[in-house]
Amino acid sequence: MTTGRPLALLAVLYAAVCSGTAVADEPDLFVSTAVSLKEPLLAAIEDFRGIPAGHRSPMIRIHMGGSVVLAQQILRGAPSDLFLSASPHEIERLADAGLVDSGSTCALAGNTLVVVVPIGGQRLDALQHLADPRFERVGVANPRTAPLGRYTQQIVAAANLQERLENRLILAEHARQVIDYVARGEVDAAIVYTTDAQRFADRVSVALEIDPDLHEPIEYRAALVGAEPPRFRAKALFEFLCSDAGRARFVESGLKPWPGTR
Amino acid sequence: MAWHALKLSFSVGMMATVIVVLSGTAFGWLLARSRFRGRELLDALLMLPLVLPPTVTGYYLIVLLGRRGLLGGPLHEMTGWSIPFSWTACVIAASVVALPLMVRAARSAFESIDARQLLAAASLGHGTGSIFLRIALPLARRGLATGAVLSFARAIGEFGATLLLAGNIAGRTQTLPLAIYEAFQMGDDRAALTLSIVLTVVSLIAMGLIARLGNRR
Repeated sequence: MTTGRPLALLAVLYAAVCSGTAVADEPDLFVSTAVSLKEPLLAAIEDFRGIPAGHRSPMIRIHMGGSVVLAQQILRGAPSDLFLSASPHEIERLADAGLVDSGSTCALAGNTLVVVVPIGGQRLDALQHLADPRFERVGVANPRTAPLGRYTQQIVAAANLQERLENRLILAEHARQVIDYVARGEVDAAIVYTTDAQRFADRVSVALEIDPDLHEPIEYRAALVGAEPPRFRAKALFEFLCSDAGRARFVESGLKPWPGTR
Repeated sequence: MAWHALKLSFSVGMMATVIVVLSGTAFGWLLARSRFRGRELLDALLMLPLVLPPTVTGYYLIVLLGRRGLLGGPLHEMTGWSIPFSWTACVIAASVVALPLMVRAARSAFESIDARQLLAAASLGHGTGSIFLRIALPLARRGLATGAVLSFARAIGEFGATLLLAGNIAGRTQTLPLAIYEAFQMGDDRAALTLSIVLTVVSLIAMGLIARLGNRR
């Protein structure tokens, strides 16, 4: 009897916890998104929730990270109904694996890059100045985990800075971690998305806009994931994000309209 | 890359073990043999990294030692030296996380010494330092060796605090556990498996060596 009571309590607790989740009649919807799309995606999902669904809508679970890592997780079978990538290449990888139908992807928006420094940090007028020894540590995204890292790699190569920067690069896992390093003052300069720089304007200052011709165009794409016919609600969310109203949310957040969507 | 991660893990693990064995033995002796104000508090503080998730420990370390941190800020202003993303950062993270294991082991080793043996030594004219070095240390040898083994194992496997304080920079601060994490994330299972086996073998060899040293007369 002495052991029976805590067990009974546990059973009651378990039942209480489970009943909370068991009422939803549709399983959760999983959205994997490039971390730099966080705010506009949340805003678009708010709009989407406002659209009457006709039945109980599933919970929408958002998983953020570097797009390369997210694509890898989806390849390994991570639950994902929608994938929003900071580059079309990751979506192509999923399409090659048969996880994405090339007909169910759309371009959401574009972006540009800037060099940022901590508030009150060193100024610079040209990309070449990053090679100055006064920039002891330069924050960049890891090309192995985030498309931002690939774009940065292209810029560094185009500006012929590889050798001079090599030992000073501090690699971060994704776009938000790069800008966090600048905001904390741990790096003296960093290459980040323009939209992230705007969002952290109280903690970093833009030192230089980067010529978009130095890297491949930055294109955010959304894709429906899953080989079987997509779930009704996932398809509805995908179609909303790709609609003019949905894409407007991304442009409002500072992203560039992407020419020739769909 | 893998070779660098292995060398880095080994050098960080060794350095952290040296630091932790020296400081942990001193703290263990202090906690076992002295009564002073704040003893409980010191004990709790030293044990904290054992119960905290390593990411929390790492977060505290970056708040403390970052370029704008409570200690790191003045240090950077005065010397231009910054700790995060360096070899030193790896060593600090590994040491802080491994220290509780050494303190625990040292403390119980010292506590299990019969106090009369120490009293006898004192009555024969040994000073405190001499008692510590000639009586207490040899008697606590096995406990200390165990502490060293555990500390090395903990230090070489450190992940969370290292990731926050030292980052994950291949060729610079990417230790074996971080290299395994990155390889796994990239879907490079072969590299992840190879590195995991390497880490397992290195840990086994190191433990065997240290354990043998502890048993030697």
